[in-house]
Amino acid sequence: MDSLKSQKNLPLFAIALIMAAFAMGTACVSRQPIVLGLAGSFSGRDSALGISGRNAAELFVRQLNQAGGLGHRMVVLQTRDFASDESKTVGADRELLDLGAVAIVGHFTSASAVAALDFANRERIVLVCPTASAASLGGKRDFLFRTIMSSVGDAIAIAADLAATGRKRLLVIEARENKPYAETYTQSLAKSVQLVDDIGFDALADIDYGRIARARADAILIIANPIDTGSIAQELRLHKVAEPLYLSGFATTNSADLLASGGEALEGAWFVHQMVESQPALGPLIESYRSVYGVAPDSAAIETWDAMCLVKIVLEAGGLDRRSFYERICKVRSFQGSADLISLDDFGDATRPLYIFQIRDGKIQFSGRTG
Amino acid sequence: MRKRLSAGLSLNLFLVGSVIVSGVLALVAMTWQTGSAVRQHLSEELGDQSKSLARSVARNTSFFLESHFGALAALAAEPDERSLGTLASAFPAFSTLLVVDSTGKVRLSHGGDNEEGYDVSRREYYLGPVKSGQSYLSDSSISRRSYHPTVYLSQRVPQGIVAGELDLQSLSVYIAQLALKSEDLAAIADGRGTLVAHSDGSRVERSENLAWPPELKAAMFREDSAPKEMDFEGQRVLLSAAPVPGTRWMAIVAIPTAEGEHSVSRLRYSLLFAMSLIIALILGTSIVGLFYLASEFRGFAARMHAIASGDYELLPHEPVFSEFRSLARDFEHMAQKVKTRETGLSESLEHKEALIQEVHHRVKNNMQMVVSLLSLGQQQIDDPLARVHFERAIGRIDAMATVHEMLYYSGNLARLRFDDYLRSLALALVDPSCLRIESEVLVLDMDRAIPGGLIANELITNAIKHSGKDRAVEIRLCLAIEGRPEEGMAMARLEVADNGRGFEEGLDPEHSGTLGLRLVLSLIQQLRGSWELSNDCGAHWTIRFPL
Repeated sequence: MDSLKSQKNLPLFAIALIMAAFAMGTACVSRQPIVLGLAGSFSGRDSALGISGRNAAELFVRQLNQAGGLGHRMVVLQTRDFASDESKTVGADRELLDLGAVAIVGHFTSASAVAALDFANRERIVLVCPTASAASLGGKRDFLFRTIMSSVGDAIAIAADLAATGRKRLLVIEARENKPYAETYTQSLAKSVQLVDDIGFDALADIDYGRIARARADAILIIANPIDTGSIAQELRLHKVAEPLYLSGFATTNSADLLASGGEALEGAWFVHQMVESQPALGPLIESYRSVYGVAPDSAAIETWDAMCLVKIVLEAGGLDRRSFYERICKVRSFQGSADLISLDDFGDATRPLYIFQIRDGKIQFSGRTG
Repeated sequence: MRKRLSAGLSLNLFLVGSVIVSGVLALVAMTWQTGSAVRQHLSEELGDQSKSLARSVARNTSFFLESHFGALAALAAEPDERSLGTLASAFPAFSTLLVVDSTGKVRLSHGGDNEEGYDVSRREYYLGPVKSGQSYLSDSSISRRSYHPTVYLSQRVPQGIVAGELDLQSLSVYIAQLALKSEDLAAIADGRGTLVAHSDGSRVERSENLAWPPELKAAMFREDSAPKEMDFEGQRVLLSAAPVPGTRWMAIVAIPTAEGEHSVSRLRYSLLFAMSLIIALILGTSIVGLFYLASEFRGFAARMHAIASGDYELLPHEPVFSEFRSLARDFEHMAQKVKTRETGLSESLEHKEALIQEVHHRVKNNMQMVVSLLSLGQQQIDDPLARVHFERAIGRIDAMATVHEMLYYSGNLARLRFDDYLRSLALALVDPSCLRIESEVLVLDMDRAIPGGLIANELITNAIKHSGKDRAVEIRLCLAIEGRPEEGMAMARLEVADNGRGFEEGLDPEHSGTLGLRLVLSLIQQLRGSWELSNDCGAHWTIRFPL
């Protein structure tokens, strides 16, 4: 009789054992880390954005994991450098995809974001761009989401200031490697301002300062990275081109490099930016970033931090694989960034306040908000 | 025997199990301890190596920087195009050389982009020496010339500052030339933790940062900092750091511990394997030994059993263990001795039995002779009373002779079936048609059978004599066992009853003058028994005596 009872209980025992094994297996699977990708240029001409962005993202993930991760799962940040070469962006993204990334933070320049967009749409992996602000990237239902506003606003603000100061003739000096970004400015400005010349360059030595001087513009807009912007400003001064300077948002992503590079040649330069680096709300971030990296975070780092905040919200909402990440990020309409509340429209494009700055006495001074 | 063997087996199993468990625990503990000790030793050795190497890197980096600072200092005396060119040739690590005036304008520039006339007053390499008045080593920044990471050495001079942009590749080349194993890492980090040299130059190119928390940086940036086991660049390493003298830079040497861990693991596994093998050998030997030992004892037990069963023809047995050989010989010797003694005893017993039988036979014959003589003598006596006494005596002797006869013929020299004896006795005295016997099987020794027989003989004879009916009286004999024989508390009950006229009213057998009754009571007393007499349709004697 006892052996009969044992035989009857055996299937139940086997089922219980299988269920326990399944539960354990599920638990093991669920404790695997969440892989997040970060793609950018950490070397070369565009490295200023990428380095700061990478440092901010790594700090964010480290702090997140120290606080217990997400649902007891650690986050692993996999980074790939495409060394300021847009032809390598897809390869870098492919590697991140193969590593199991649920989403990719990056790319940091508009040109590299444009280069990666087809791949992202095809592979249905979300790109969360912290700093790519070209107009051509917005207004589409795709897999690209931005926590930075389109630079069309910058152009509009520049046009407004030009109008307010009676400057009608604008000369543009643009770095050709980031064409989508530059076009955001030129195409918008062309609607309200006379563009007397649009001088593109691949190398600084290409720039014909004589041509610039002969153009006799009322103002000059430089669309380049911080170092190149400073060097161009120095050259303009040396060539006695004294027109007021307007700077792009790209140039001001690293204000320390910009000021060091441009020196007094940047005095009076005017620009708009989507954040005020000195605002009190950034205090904790500035402190923790400085303690690790020895320097305050620049705009690129802060904007990447904003992107990581958005990623965290989506992961917490259950976006733990590529498909669910996309579904959940589509539902986000606003989120709290490092300092400001950032809104996202139906196309995943951000809306943020825009602030006016001017360089005076070797310092960047806040002048107010745009209308 | 089976239960004792099971206990022994259990004990064996317990002992074996204890040995196994103890052995395994000891093995694991010893292996772990050994592994830990080896690991500790390896860590200390690796730590010493890495610390020594880190200090060497830091010193050599300091020499390198000092030599280049010295070169800049030499430039201060003659800061012109020619001297810049000479310096650049002598110190190729300088990719750019600048002479900056006191207003922060570049006066002279050599190498890279021409920055003459540039305002560099806000650059670190200008502000540093201007503020400190000393040589200045900047943190890593991106070169506007090459967009590669770079550092500047600058020095205050009377005219302003002289600065040289250092090609960090040269530092990484120096690191790569160090005598490191391929898996070891060496690096130099600036004051912010950004790598300025690395055995993997691409990490410098990507401006990677140690990203250490401030307390770790402070702890490692000490001359006497101890090697620290930590995760570094995706692997577990033993990391040592040493400050580069005169700078905020830090030289780092990281030795992966994986190989050491593998070595320790291999050692542990080897130890485990070796000790497992040894334990298995010991265990196996013990089990085999125990098996043979148990087999030997089983053999000896079987021999004892055979001897106890009377089988003395033991097969030759050569024990496995030499210690048991003498025991085996002793067993055989014992068997032979027992056999000899048993044979002797058997023969002696047979002889004695034969003698006893002969004695019984002769006693019976002698008693028969006495009976015959008495019978002859009876024939010579005229007195009827005397003849009765003679007859009575003959009957008594005959009763005793019958006991010896029965003992002789039964083969049992000391005990006989008293029920059979009683029947035989009664049939000799009473006509079978007048005799009723109810008896249980009762075996008595000679010492009780003879008195019992004499009592029965007397009572039957009395019954016949005094019944008034001569031999036609009906005699009822009853022999039973009362009580609990299994507890040693049994009594034999002998009843002799007749249907005669019974005893006279008021007769007290104890005070009777007749020989027969006195004999009966004496015999009853000899048997330590008791009697009852009733006169109920005849005399009814009930005699009980203990068995």
